[in-house]
Amino acid sequence: MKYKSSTSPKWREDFPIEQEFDDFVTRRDFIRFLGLVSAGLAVGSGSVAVNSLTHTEVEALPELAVAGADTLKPGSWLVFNYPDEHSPAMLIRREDGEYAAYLQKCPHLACPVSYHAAGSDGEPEGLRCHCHNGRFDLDTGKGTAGPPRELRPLRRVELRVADDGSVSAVGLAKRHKA
Amino acid sequence: MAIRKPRFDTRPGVTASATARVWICGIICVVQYWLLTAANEAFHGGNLKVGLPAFLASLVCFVLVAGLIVVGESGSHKMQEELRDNE
Repeated sequence: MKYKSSTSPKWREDFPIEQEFDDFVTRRDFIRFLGLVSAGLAVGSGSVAVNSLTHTEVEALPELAVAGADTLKPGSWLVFNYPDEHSPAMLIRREDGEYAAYLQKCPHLACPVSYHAAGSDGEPEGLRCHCHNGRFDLDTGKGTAGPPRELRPLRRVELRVADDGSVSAVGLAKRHKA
Repeated sequence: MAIRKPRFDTRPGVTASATARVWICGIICVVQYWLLTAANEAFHGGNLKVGLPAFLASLVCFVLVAGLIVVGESGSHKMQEELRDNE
């Protein structure tokens, strides 16, 4: 690295960079770059933290009154479309009279999931997918048997039950808490 | 003919300490990257309690990296000032 010699011109002293060294990254430049990377990673972690703090359990969607819900007897169910006309959902009136609703599409291969009341085959009430004998927990929508056991739970539809017995869908639970 | 003093820090151990700073910053960046991916995965897995502690830990890591950079830069500037004063 001979930048200077007795015969070097003055400009060489002011600009002592050889062209062959021009592409080299110095330690100082590299550590500055690492500082930039560190700042970026901190900002990324910050965005995850902000998302965690502002996370809501329910994705609010336009309210939709479910037709026929007020005549639904305990241990029965009906299908309605929510949140759009291409998304089938199940409104279930459980045997204890409580309402529950889930999107009907199985997370495995999108077969329709159906409700089964207790007693018909000795099993408790629950949700089943007949394509591959999948079972779901009625309280949480999580798969309990078959391929859905390894997959995401069914998305729960949030309901509002009015005093007159009418039932409306008001949103979808976020996937985390479904 | 007077021998000109070098324009860079020639004290013993300076190169080693600079290399050590680079390595430490690199390792801290790897830890931060792991923190980010772990926090992101936990968030998508439904664990919302991890995000804030991970961010704080990442912030501490950034402060460490920034501190190492500032220490390195200030040491080098100080040395250059001393060399200029001696000249």
